Amino acid sequence: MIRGRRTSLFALLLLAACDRRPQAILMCHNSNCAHATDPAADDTLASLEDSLALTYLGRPPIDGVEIDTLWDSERSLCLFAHDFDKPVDELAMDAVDRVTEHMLGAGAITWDGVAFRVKIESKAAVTPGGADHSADDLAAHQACVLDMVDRLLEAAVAGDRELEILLEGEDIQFVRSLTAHSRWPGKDPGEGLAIRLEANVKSAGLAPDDLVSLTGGDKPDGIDVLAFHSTRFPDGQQQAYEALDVDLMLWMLDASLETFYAAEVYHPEYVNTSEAVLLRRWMED
Amino acid sequence: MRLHLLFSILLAAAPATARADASDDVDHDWHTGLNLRTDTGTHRVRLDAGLRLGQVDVTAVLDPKVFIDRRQNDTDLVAEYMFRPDGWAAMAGWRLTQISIDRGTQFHHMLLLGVTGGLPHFLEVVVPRFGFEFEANVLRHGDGLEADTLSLASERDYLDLVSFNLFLRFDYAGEI
Repeated sequence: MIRGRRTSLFALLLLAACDRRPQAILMCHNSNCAHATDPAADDTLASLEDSLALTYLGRPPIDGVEIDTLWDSERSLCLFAHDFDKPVDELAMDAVDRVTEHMLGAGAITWDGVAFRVKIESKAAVTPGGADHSADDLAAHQACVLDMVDRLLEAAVAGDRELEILLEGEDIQFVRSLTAHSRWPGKDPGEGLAIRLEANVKSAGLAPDDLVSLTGGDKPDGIDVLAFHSTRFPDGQQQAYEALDVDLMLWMLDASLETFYAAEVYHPEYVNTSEAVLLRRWMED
Repeated sequence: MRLHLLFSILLAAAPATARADASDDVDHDWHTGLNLRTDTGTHRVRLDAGLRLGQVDVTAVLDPKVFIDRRQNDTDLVAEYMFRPDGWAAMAGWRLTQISIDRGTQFHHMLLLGVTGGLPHFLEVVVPRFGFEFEANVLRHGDGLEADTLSLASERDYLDLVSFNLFLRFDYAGEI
């Protein structure tokens, strides 16, 4: 009798577990999840601070943040920005400093209690007119990104935190050539530390039929994470991404109904969104 | 298979007075049937019921899947202006989608604009129509979340909140 009840209870628990929505590592898109529906708050230090301070049910709703870097070739500045329309200059390294302060503080800094994730996305344009990197620009921009990586790794060690850094470039060659840089720390720079290479399916220089040749976590320059947008690709293409040996990252501008569908059907490892509180509550329902 | 079953139930449930052929001289009728969609944001199989009064057709689309997927419920109210019976029509409507989240519900309000067109009747009793719909998610709100109204200020504001969708209706129609 008791055994029968236990079996029923187990079945109920199993059903409840199966009914749970897919869980994902939740990243704060453009360092802005505190003012989710205000694009003007994207990629600003104020929003980054507010986003790191967010809580839901006493925990941070996010597991990491995205920092955009933009190389301004005319002024030789490594900016914390999405494009050249940002009205004030803020440096990418200042954004990193806000994150390292957060990592050195006490208490939980992620919802899942595992590694804090920082995604560094490097933009392709180096002038307001959209010019591509020259060799000098590329060297300077990559040096900036490697400085950011170094500082984050140091803070993780000092704060005794696990850290995962995801590197993405609008141009796929930007991150792939980083792995050949003399300062490249490798994908496993220490215990509890990891660096992963990410491509967006819309990355420059990346054709859909290139994907298979680019993937493979065991390759030093293999892509580990593939980002896709929920509403701009047909089902069949998303299924093709799923079949690759990579983790998927679903990203969005706004949390639309198609986004929820994609999260439910494709079970991405990461979700990159400004609407982190909404997505957390959606996942926890 | 489930779709076939649902379709058979609808046909069996329809009254014997149902009109086999929506001829041009009938101005008022009722109709009910299946509403199938291609997009992923809205449940793909729903039920509709409506009235046609002259050139104006008003249809409510209800979501039976709410009984097996309590986390999403999509309801439409759509009006069509028929340029000629069983021909082309201009369509405008409103969709309300409720999404279940931890400790609450988020509401998405969508403005619908589009065109529909009649297709040849089949099995003599089914009146199919297809439609092309522009959907704009004009308001999202609920349960302490930041309310968001659609802005056209930049692509970042609206790109994920508008879409173009296709649908197909298989309705059983009867005279009033």
